[in-house]
Amino acid sequence: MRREQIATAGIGLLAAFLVVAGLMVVGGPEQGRAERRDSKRMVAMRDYSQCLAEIPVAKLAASPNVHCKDRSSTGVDGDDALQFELVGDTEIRVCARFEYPDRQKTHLMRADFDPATGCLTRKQQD
Amino acid sequence: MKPADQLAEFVGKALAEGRSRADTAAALQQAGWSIGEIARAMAAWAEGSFTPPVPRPRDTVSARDAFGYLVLFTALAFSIWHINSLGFALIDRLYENASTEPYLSVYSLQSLRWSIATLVVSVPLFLWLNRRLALAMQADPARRRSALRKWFGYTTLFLAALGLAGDAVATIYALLSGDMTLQFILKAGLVLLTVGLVFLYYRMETEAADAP
Repeated sequence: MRREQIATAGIGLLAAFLVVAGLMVVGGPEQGRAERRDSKRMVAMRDYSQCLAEIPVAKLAASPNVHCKDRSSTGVDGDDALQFELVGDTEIRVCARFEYPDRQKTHLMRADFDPATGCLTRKQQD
Repeated sequence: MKPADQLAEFVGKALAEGRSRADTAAALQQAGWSIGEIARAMAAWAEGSFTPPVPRPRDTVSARDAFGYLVLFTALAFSIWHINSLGFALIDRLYENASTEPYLSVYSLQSLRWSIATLVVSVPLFLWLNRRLALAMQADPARRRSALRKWFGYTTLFLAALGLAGDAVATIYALLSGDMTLQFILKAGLVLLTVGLVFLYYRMETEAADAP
């Protein structure tokens, strides 16, 4: 085999190996769609928690659903609907069902997101 | 007229008037031309007793060659860039562990997909164009004398040399900083391998192009 052929075959084989390995990691189109749905959930979760964080805890405890815009307007509803709960007197926790929760850790740089539970915990603003 | 063309024309005239190559070379040397310049000017004319002197084939430039080599060069550049980009991401994935932040964020997955998509297009394009140009050169050896082929070849060799030097610098820096991990060695090895393949490919190309 000539040197040129070794070089071109090497480039081709190396690229083929990496593409196959890459596809095993990123998955196919269905995985891509699932990640996009997760991304939408994360954005909705951020907006919803931002809204809730500005409401006094007592008011939230009394009527949690009326203070923020309807949850369906965040783009996630049904089984994907965001759930929130009060944690003590100073924090709220907003949760959603993620298909790939581990991959959301670095999304939007959310250090307050727990991949194990799919929940975002925020301190209430004064 | 370029000095090299002017010199070659002068040599052609001298040979046509029956001057020997040695006398012509001595006259040029006396006038201040370097030995390399004189050798190149002499090489422009075939040796032999036929008069007038027979010119040797010279480099050519054509729009068709420019298009072919530009696309080939770009496809190779994209392929090498994304082979390394994808390779680095996969090596990071291999060494991701619980103590570090998960590397495989949404953004890195998007980057992986871009690299895969680019490679799926650029590598077959490069291989196909390379094969097509090789067949064209076999059919018409005059196409080996494309000046653009030499320029793209040497430009790529230059970039490959920079890549090799950069890889060596990064490796020594990592060694001195105590960061010579297996992860780093694999990445440096991947750069060395890809740049080495490019070097091998274009070294052969430029050797063939420089052959008289």
